[in-house]
Amino acid sequence: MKSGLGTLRRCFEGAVPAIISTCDENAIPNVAYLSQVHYMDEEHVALSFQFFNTTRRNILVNPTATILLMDPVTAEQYYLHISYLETVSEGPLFESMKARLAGIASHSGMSEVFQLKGSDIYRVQRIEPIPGALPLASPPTPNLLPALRRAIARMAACQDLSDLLEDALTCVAQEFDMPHTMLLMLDAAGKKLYTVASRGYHHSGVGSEIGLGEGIIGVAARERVPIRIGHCATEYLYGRAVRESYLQRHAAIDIEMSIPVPGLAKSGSQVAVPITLGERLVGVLYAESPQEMRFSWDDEDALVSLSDYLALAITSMERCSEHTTEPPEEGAAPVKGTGNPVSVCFYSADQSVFINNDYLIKGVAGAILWKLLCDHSSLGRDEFTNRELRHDTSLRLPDVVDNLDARLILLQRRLTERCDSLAIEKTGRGRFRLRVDGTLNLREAVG
Amino acid sequence: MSAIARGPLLLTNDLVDFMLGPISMKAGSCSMARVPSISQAYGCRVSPAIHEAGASEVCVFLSESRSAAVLRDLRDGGAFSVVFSRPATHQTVQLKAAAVRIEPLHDGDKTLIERYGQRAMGELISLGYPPSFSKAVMAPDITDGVSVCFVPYAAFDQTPGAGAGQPLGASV
Repeated sequence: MKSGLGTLRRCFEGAVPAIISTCDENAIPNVAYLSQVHYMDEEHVALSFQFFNTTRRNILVNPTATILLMDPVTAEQYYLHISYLETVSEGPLFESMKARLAGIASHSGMSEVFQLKGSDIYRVQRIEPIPGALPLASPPTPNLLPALRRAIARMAACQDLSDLLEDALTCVAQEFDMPHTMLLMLDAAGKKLYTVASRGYHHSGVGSEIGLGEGIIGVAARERVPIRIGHCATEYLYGRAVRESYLQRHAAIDIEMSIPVPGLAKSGSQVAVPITLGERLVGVLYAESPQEMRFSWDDEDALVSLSDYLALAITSMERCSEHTTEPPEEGAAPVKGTGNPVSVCFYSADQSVFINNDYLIKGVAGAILWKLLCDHSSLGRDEFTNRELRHDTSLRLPDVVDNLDARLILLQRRLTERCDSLAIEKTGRGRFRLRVDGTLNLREAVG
Repeated sequence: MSAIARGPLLLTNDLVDFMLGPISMKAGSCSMARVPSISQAYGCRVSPAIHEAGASEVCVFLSESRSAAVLRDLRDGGAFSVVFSRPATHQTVQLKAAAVRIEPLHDGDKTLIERYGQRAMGELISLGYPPSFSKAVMAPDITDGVSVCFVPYAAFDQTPGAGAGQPLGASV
């Protein structure tokens, strides 16, 4: 294995600030502390450009610079001899550094001061160790490679999407020691992410939504870039971001209808990894911890690799589901409409469903439930297939990437959490049963 | 830089007190080919009013082996820059000098280096860094120390914020 910049990634975590030396056209040196040195690849780093200061002026006239780096564990020091290439002020690199800087600024009480103007990209010409005392001992760190292997093996054994999503979070908790996680999928319109699974929170938040660009999860999704923050950055806390964004766009009633996004009361570290297949954004895998600086570069690598597998597996299961319908398995006869009344109101404007006056769900999942209940009520049907839903034009599913399976999982989990009278039970691949325990009273409201 | 007077600079008592406090110090120079160099420094000595007009001389302690590039550039006639930064407050000051004198440590300088190391190490420990790490960074055993002595011509506030980049002190 090549010994290069990647072996120094611990030095870029920000635990110990790096220092840069530059000089102007008259060879006058300037020394300055750096807020952030971002590892890009084996040959490039990016530095945060926050102020039009002497360092900035110097690199524009003399692009050669030297950085002093320190390993936060062993106290070993290194020189990075670097050469300035260009500055970017938008896109994945910029947004990733901006989010991390927000965490650094919050941690150091500099939130009003640190504003990222750009990401200065440098080519690393040479790495030079600085002589010094013997390095301090480095405590053993968990080897995530066998953990990743076990996780993928377990996920590969999953037979359906519901199990896959649950097992993915179980693997992240057990193999990567990350107990607080969420899995969100991109909706068919490509505007919002909705939570399909979570782990380690007081309430699951299944069905809660985050817009692209909102908080760390939304920015990671919009820019298709992993974002890792080692401190609490208020402006990137998705709960607050989501709420503020909603308040700007919607009436108060919509807030009441929205499902709260789960989250730790005091989050010290966050990492959001987009789940992508080629250009397609499938969703986001998110982990957080009450501990500051919890997630390392290696943790991010493990989550990215797991997400890459997850993207393939999700897409494969979606394609499989489109074409497969197993015969129904033998099961308990559905409970017929007796017992307590179940009042269901459907608002066609936003396809929202209220059960006994409590909000349950909206959008495509709401439309699906309404169709199932209407068919159950008028035709006496209990058994349904994914395929018939996919071809039902009343559900307004898009032609490409309909996310039907994920929507059904979302609906199934919301019913489990919020409604004792209704349930969706899987009865085979591409097939499920609606259980109704009570007497349905259906009402459709316009507007 | 051209707007800054190049005469010797008067260091205020507050500034000297800050420089002698629990701070992190980094020194820099530049080769004739305009390749910058940088290294850690391990304390300083401020001699009051050696200049006829009252300017002070500052001697910064470096390690020959750990600061090889900076010392090479300085011996080649490179200019000098040194940054003093307090980790707990981020208060940061940079001094600049056009020329330096490099000399062996004086009697008592080793004690100054040790005192500096203890203070700076304590600062890092108070911020949560492990004692072994804090000692390795701030208070290593320096057996090849030298003094880099200079009369600064400029001082700048480098504390992040609105005042960053502002000149400090007054020229003689």
